[in-house]
Amino acid sequence: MTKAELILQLKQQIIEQLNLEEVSVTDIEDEAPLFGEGLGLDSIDALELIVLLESEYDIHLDNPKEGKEIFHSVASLSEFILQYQHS
Amino acid sequence: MTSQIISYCRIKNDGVILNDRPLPYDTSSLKQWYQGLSIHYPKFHKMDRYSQLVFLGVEELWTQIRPAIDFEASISMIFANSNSCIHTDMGFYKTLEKNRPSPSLFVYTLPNIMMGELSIRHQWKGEQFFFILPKFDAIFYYNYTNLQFEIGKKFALVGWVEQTGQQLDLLLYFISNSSVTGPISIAHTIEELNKLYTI
Repeated sequence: MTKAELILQLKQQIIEQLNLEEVSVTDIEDEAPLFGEGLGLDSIDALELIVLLESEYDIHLDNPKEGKEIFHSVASLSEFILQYQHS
Repeated sequence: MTSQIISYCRIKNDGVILNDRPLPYDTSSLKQWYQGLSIHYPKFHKMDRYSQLVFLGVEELWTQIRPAIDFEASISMIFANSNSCIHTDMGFYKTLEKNRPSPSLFVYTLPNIMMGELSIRHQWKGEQFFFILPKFDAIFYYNYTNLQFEIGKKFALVGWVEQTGQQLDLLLYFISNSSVTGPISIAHTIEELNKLYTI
């Protein structure tokens, strides 16, 4: 899977997992912050994203402090997943 | 002081009425309505559809009367429906069956949004009530709103916010117990409340 394909897939999964009513993949910019501004996600959503990583990509975050950087945007999340899969 | 309904919004499946005039929005797709209001409130996207409807309806109401109301004014919120947020709760229950419960499904549901996000969004600091009633009850609303006025409140946002199956049945209105007027002026009586509900 290419990075672009992964980004598209992640957007679809985030919309479904977080129940983002009325949001489409085109509304989510690759580099836009997921938390605070941008999608305006919060701590509950961070939990959902961790569950998403575990269930869909079999990735377990050992260090929660890494989350801030990993979940900054869809682009950073995709880079983390690709690195993990190739390590 | 005679209290007056100074703005109202009626939302049903076949459309939205704001102060006797239809709005050009389809209640089956709320994105257009949200974008039409030119607001940026990311939490909107987290709400369930029903909370989004109330959020948008209140946004329309508030835009109509905000210039006339002192920002420090205390606004009481009195809401009711017959089943709280059972539709979203059932969705959450289904995620339990999949052994992956989704906290995001129940955090942004109807009563929470009524009492929390609306206050945050509009900086309202008045009293808040959410009742479960078997049906729209103009007498209950009339009496309870007047109780608020008797203890010195000047404004109330009142709402019947019901969804039965896929049927939407929402009535939101602002009442002023002061000299502040709005785009409409309807006497706050049981008879007029019943008239508004039948629109």
